[in-house]
Amino acid sequence: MIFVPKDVVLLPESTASHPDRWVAMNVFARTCLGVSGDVVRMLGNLQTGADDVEARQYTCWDIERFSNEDGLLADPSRFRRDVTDWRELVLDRAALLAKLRAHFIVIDDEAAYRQRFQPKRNVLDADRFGNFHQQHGRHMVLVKRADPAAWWMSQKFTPDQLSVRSDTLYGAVQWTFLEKFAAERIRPGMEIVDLGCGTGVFANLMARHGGRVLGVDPSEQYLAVAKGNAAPGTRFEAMRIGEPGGLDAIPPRSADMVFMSDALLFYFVPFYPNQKADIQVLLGDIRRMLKPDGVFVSLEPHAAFYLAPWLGAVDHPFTIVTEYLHKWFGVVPPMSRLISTVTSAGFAVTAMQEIAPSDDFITVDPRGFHFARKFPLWQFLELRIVV
Amino acid sequence: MSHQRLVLEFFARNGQRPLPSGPEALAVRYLDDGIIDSLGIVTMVSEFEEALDIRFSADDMQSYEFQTVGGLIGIVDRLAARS
Repeated sequence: MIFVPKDVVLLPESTASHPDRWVAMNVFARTCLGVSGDVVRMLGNLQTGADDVEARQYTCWDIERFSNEDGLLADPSRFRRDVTDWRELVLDRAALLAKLRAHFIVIDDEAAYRQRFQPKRNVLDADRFGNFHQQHGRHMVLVKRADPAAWWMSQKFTPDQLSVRSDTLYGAVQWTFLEKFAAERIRPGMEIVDLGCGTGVFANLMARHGGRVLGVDPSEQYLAVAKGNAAPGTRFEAMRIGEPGGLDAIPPRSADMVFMSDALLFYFVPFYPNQKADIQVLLGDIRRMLKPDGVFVSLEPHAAFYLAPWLGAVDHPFTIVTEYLHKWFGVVPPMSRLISTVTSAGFAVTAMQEIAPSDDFITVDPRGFHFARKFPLWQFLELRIVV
Repeated sequence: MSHQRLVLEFFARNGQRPLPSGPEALAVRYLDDGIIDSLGIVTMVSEFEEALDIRFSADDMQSYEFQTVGGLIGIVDRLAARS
């Protein structure tokens, strides 16, 4: 029996030329289709068969896109915002139902549909939805044919890898926060370890404020860029973060600050199957390398709102939170798991902030600005060793 | 060179281990079985496209057919017939 699963919502997207137009969105599958009012009424009559006329023509629109292709902090809503980009289709009933099935706006077998909510076995696995990282990897390889590692660099930093892109929330939230943080907290001669330093942009920022920064990353590809751009006071080394013995080259009680940004999450939700890195090993290493009065600083995507769709009017946003404590799609641990993990490893949380974008971002991306003002996309934690 | 031979030779050259001989090879899910990894797909597709002047669409690459050696040969046959 064909029916609309309870996971589907309808969002108005009417214009003067199309006063009865909707986005049908499966909020769990994160799939979308633009539909006319006729389609909505047909969906309402699926059980009665009142619209079961094969010759009838229906209008719908292909609107779906992997919107995080624009960046991990880009609008995760996955449909084209500009209605002039919507591709109109006029379909008979059978073709329309096939289209609706392909987007999980209608389903035939609820048990089979629910079975899809599992991790993918690999990038070609079309039977399981997988988590965000898996969906992203699949999109990169099969649609963009891009090296995911190269994409990670370009979506966040300027092409020269010297600073954060100002046209994204990375610039408006993360970079703005870190510039202020570095100016206030980094003192000349401070020994800093930047774990998961990537191409070294944040390490260079801290070094410009006088820090003596060791940037560590498992990726030789990123470190090659970091070494090419290294500011005075930095050095970069490849180490296996989170693996037993991986950070042994860093002496005990040597760091005034351990810094991690957009990296800690990978040690909670494995980035790839059979990942060896372990959060307990990592936290043990951080404890070991910090001086007794040292501080561990973490700046990560927000536990609740990262990857939640930006819905509603541009200046009056809302979202639909589909998971929190038990995540199958999300890749950031819930706050309680993060806090209990770090506290059980011997740290105390001494400061916490949920960070909003700077005022100037309203002119760059009004929707992103208003959403991130209301629903923080980053969280900052300061942790100290419990003596 | 037949398309089947082209595909089988790619796996012979690039696979982590050899495909079974004979018709069994066609049923192999090359990624599930670890014959190549996910980034190897990009190399594989580029090689076939260049050799045959064809172009895989995103839909081709996300299809069930694409997951097996035999299905892959079928897609290559279809694309080559069109080009």
